[in-house]
Amino acid sequence: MKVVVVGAGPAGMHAAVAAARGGARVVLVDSAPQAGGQYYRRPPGGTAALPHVFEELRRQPRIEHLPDATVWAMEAVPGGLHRLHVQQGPADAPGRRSMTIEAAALVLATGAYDRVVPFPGWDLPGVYTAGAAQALAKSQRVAVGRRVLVCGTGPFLLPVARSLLAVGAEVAGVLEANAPATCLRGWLRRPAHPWHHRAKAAELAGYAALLARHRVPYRPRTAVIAAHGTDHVEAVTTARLDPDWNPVPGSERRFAVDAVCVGHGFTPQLEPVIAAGCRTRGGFAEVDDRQATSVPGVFAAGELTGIGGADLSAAEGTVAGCAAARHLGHAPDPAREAAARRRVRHWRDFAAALAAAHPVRPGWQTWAADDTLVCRCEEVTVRELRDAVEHHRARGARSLKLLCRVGLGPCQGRICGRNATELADAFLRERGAPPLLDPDAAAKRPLAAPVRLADLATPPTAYEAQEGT
Amino acid sequence: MGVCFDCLVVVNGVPDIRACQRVVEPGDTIRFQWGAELPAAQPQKREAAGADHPGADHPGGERPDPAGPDPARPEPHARPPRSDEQSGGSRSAEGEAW
Repeated sequence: MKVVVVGAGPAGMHAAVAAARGGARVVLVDSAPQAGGQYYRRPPGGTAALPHVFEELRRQPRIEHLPDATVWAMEAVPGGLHRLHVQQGPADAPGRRSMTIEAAALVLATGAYDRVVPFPGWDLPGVYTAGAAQALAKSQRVAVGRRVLVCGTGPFLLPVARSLLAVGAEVAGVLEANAPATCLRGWLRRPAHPWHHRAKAAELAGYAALLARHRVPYRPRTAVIAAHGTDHVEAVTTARLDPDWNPVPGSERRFAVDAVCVGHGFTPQLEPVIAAGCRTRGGFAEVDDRQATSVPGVFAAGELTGIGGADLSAAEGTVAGCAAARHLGHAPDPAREAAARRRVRHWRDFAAALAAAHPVRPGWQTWAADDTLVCRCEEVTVRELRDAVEHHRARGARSLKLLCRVGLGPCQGRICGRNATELADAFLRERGAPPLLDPDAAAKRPLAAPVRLADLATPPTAYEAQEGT
Repeated sequence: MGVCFDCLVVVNGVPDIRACQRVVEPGDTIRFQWGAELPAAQPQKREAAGADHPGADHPGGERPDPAGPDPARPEPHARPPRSDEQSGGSRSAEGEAW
C-alpha cells in the first residue's frame, strides 16, 4: 500500500514529502535526472539556493525517488489500484529498466509545457519555445542564440529573459502580445490578496530593473508574426497588435536575430489524468478542495489543475500529499494541511487573474499563411487543414486527423492539437457550421511516451518484486 | 521541452533519441536523423542503457534489428540523401507506427 507521485516539480516534491510525513510509503517517479522540475532546473549536481523541501525529500526514509523514469501507460487494476508502466534509464534508450508499479493512491503532478501558435517560419531552426530556451540555459548553461528576441504572452517571459541574460545572450527585446489594458483588467478582476502584492510586486520590480540595466526593451501589444531564414532564423518581422491580436497594418518591422523564444501560455501534460479516467474541465484536471479528482484515490496538483506558478503548485502538492496519505488510512498533520489549503485558495485567485490578464486572442490565426505548417510532424499546412474542413467536411477532431493527418506524428498533437482545433473551429464558423464535435480528442494519448517494439515485447518486472515488498 | 520530437538524432546507431532530453556520455557518436530510420545493424557502440544509473542492474544494450535494410526516407524538405542512407520508404509508414 503506497502512494505513487508522478512528477517531481514543486507540486510533486511537496506531495511526496507531505504524504511521507503523514506516514505513507511514497514512490516519486520523475522523468528528469534530478528533482525540481522546470522551476528548479539546474546544472547536474547543482545545489545552489534550493529550498528546504529538497533536503526533506532526500532524508525522508519513506520516499523512494525514481529519477530518469518515464510513465508511458497507466491502467486501473482490481482492488482500486492503479498500475503504472515505467521505463527507467537514459532518455529514449532501448533496453531501459522496465517495470510496473501499483499505486493504492496516486498523485499526478506532471506539469505543463509551452504553447506556441504557428506563424510563417515558426518551424525554422532557431525558433525555440520559451521554456526550452530557459531549460537549456538553466541546466546546460547554453544560450540558444547570440541575439535573441523573447515574445508571446505572460509573466513567464521575464524569467526566460533573465535566464538568457545570465548565459550571455543579448536579449533584443521582450514582446508581450496583450495590451496593457487587457493585462490591467485581468489583474484587477479580483481583489488581489496582499500576499500577492508583496511577493509578486517585488519580483516584478526585480525584472524591470534587470531589463533596464541590460537596456532590454519591453514592448506590449507587439508580436513576432514571421521568422525568416533559409536553414536558420536570420531575422523576424514584428508587428503591433490590436486587442484581438490582429496585426496593425503598416506597423511591421524587421529585426536581425539568430534566435526567437516563443511562449503563448501553457498546455497541461494531461496524459495520466485522462488515462486514469479523471474528469477534466476547460482543458485542466477537475479537482475538489482536497485536490481529489473524479476518480477515488487519484489526486492532481500543480499546473495540471490550472496555470498558477510554483507557489500554488507547492501548496496544492502539500494538500494532495496529505489527502493521498489519508486515503490509505494515515493521519497527516491537520494544521499543516489547513495552512496549505489556505495558501491554495489565495494563489488560485492569482492564477485566475493571470489567465484573465494574458489570454491567447484569436487574431493569431491571421499570422499564418496558407503554406504555414500547423502540424510540423506530418507537415500539414493551413491550406490542407482548411481543405479537410471545407472540401472533405471534417466535423470532428478525429475525422480531421484522418482526412489530413494533423496530429498523427511523433508528438501526437502535443504541439499542434489546440492550434488545429481552434483553426478548424474558425473555418467551421465561417461556414456557419457548429464547432468540432470532439475537441478533447486531440489530448487523448493512450501511450504517454513512445515505446520501442522490442521493449514492449519484453515482460516488465513488478517494482514491488524488485524491492522485496 | 521534450514533447515535440523535432530534435530526434541517432546516438551510437540508435535512432529516435530526443536531443533535448538525452544527456551526452563521453564517447557517444551522434548524428542528425533524416526522417524515419531503423537502428543500425552494427551499432558503433553499445547503448549501455542505465549503465551508470542508480539501481539499474538490468541488461542494457540495444537489440540489433534483424529487419535488414534501412528504409530511411529522404527528409521531406528534399535534402539530398547522405551517403550512409538510402532513399525510399513511404511517408505514412512512420505515422502509423506511432
